[in-house]
Amino acid sequence: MALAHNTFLELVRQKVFYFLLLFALLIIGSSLFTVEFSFQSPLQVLKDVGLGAMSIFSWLLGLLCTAMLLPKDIEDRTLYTILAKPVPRFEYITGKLLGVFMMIGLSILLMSVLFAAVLGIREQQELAEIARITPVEELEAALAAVRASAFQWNLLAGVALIFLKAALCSTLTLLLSTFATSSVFTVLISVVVYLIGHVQGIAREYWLRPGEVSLLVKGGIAVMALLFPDLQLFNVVDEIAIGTKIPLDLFLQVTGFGLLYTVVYFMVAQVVFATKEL
Amino acid sequence: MLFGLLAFGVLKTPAEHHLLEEERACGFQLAQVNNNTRAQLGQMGFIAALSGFRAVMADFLWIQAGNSFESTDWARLEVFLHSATQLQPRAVVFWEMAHYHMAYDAAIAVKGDESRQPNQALRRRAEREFHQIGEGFLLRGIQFNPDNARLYECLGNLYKNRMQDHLKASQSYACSAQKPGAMGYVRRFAAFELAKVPGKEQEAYEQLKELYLEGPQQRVPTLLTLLKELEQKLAVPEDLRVSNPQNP
Amino acid sequence: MKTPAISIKNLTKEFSIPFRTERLRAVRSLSLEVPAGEVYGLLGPNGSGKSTTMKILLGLVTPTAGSTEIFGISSRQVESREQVGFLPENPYFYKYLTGLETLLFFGKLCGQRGSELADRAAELLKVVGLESASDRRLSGYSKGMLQRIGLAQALIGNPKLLVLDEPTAGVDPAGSHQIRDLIVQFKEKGITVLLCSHLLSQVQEICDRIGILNEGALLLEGRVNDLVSAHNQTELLLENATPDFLNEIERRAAECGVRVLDRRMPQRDLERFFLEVTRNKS
Ligand SMILES: Nc1ncnc2c1ncn2[C@@H]1O[C@H](COP(=O)(O)OP(=O)(O)O)[C@@H](O)[C@H]1O
Ligand SMILES: [Mg+2]
Repeated sequence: MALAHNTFLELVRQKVFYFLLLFALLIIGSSLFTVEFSFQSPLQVLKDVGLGAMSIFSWLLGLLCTAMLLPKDIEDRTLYTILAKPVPRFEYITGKLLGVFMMIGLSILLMSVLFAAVLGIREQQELAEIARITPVEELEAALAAVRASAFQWNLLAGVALIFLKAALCSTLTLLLSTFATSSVFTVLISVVVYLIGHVQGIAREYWLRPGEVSLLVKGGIAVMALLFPDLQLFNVVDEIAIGTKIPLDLFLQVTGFGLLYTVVYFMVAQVVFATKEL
Repeated sequence: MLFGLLAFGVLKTPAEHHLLEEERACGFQLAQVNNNTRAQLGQMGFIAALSGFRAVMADFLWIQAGNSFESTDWARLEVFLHSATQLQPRAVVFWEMAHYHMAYDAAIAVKGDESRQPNQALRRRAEREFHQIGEGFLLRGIQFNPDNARLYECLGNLYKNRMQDHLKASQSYACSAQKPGAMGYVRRFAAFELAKVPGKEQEAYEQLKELYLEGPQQRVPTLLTLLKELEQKLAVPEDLRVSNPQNP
Repeated sequence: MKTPAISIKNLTKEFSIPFRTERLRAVRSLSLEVPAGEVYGLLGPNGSGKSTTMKILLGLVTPTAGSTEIFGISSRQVESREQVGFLPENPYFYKYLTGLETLLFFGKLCGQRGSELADRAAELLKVVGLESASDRRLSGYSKGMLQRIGLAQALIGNPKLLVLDEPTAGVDPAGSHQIRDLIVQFKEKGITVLLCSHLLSQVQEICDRIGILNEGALLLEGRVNDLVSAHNQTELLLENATPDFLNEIERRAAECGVRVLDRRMPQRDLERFFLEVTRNKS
């Protein structure tokens, strides 16, 4: 699809992309040095920082890119030129979003490859160190412990959910930008929604608790809970990183939930954009 | 439009709740990000912990705990250990180390520290308090990681070596033995500890016998000695004694 | 009767103004038809609704009332845009694309592919005189170059109708002249053109018919020659005429009952002068 490809190209050629990527690399790189301060498995901090950074950066990247796409096209009137071609508005929005998804996917892929490489190198160092200091009879177990604390394929499920969360948030940002008037506004609201999305679980419990809370607050919480997804549901990678297994059906349920939400926001964005005055 | 979204929200919120419960059942979403965390991490750290940097924030608190440990500030250490474990309750290492720092490092330190507390009775009391704090960490850790053999084993060690509660020690070892990845010796330990409980000798003997009959890998010297002692104490008839070389 | 290239019927467009109850009427029951093959100029002061009319025609803005059709297909349908090329007012394209990439991108949007598209893009770059700049990113293009790449982009789908919103705005006289020549070429190829411009001299040179808009309403419409030429007047242009000779003419005229309205030295056209000077330089 020409539009998706072009959006992807646009984002790749933006300086902001390199900047963020560089930042992500920096974080992952710097986690090499933090390992020495901890009392726990030496690879754990590296994993935590790497995955945390991946989660935040993919979200932020998706958010910033999406927020500027539409306003930029409108401001530069490129939108007119594009829609004056036989291109349905539906296709335009779809193309933009796919382009963003491709970009998020690529950056997560790059981050993962780098992360896996750094982790692999550290693992080898750790194994060598252990082989040097551990007595022979305990060596096998010690080595196995290090290997288990390094890369597991399970992590990929967590990374997939990081992607899904970023994609969902981008779609929401796109929806916001179809009726927002400036990209700064879109970014701000998106960040707020992101935070709201992460306290949904807490808010729900608060809401269910009897008494204590005034009706007004309750109403506010209810509206928030109804409008926005519980983003915390996608944050499972931290637990996976310390060895919790994610069952396939749970993974599929979370994925399905994320996809459903993405589709709903996407459709709303379509409807808003279809009737928008340009 | 807005109504459509709200209607969808009405449908999805229970599903979300259900999904969250399911994740919890599988060991996810157990962290408690609350006012305590906020006090420890500050506003920014709190937000970070809420939105993807939770594990990192837990590590951060853990490193802070390490600093308090080095300065032997036990009260502060406890606070950091508490927050770190709250943020990452599935990290077994956290619980294990936390209990160790409290029930062993801190307890031993206050017990011997005459400069801070000249009264011996009070020193003993402080020591016991730290034992209990350590026990608390293990018990909570077990709540969050019910399938972990290692935490039960630590609990058994704590009751056995520090708190001199052999019945609880035996029970903890027995629990550990039932979890995946348990060490081979914890079943023996459960029986050894049970033997130290007055009135439980018969039960302990049955367990030891069962272990003995499993084969040579269980017949460590302690087991053999203890078996002999119990057979004498319980006056088991000669032809039923397993330690008797004539019996099969 | 052949379907007209453009047919606008009773078009009205109102914009709501934020924080105000009254609405701004940008176009008032405008009706207009442009037969195929004609070059039609829409004139009017700023804010008279020219751009709005064009946007409605291309389905970018929904009309409050009335309808627009392109070759008989309503503007609300995507298919109506298959036959049109549009150059918006002050166009701006993706800065990060090169000239060639821009054309390829828009070509793909028109459903073209492969070597056919590549050939077409190369040909158009030649037509608008941007071959040498085809590999440069648009961020380095001048206003005139942007306007020309905009024209090429409008032409990429082989349209039968071109809609040009102020194609020469902000372009220097040489560039503007080039664009004018291009429009004449399109006309010769049988492409219908709807354009609006402030450079009335140019409009006069290339348009078959014009319409004048004011505050959204069509004031007047007709063939350019009919509208501007005064049929009872004649201009004479003489060389090396002595004052005596001129006086003689005026006297003769008076005898025949012809009134001489004005007698002056012809002004040299500044634009032509500028073009000559710059051309000799290069
Ligand atoms: N999107 C819009 N919202 C509100 N008013 C608009 C919008 N677009 C144009 N207008 C108003 O409509 C009128 C006609 O504008 P326009 O068609 O751009 O005029 P022209 O192109 O003839 O200069 C102007 O008064 C302008 O302010
Ligand atoms: Mg205009």
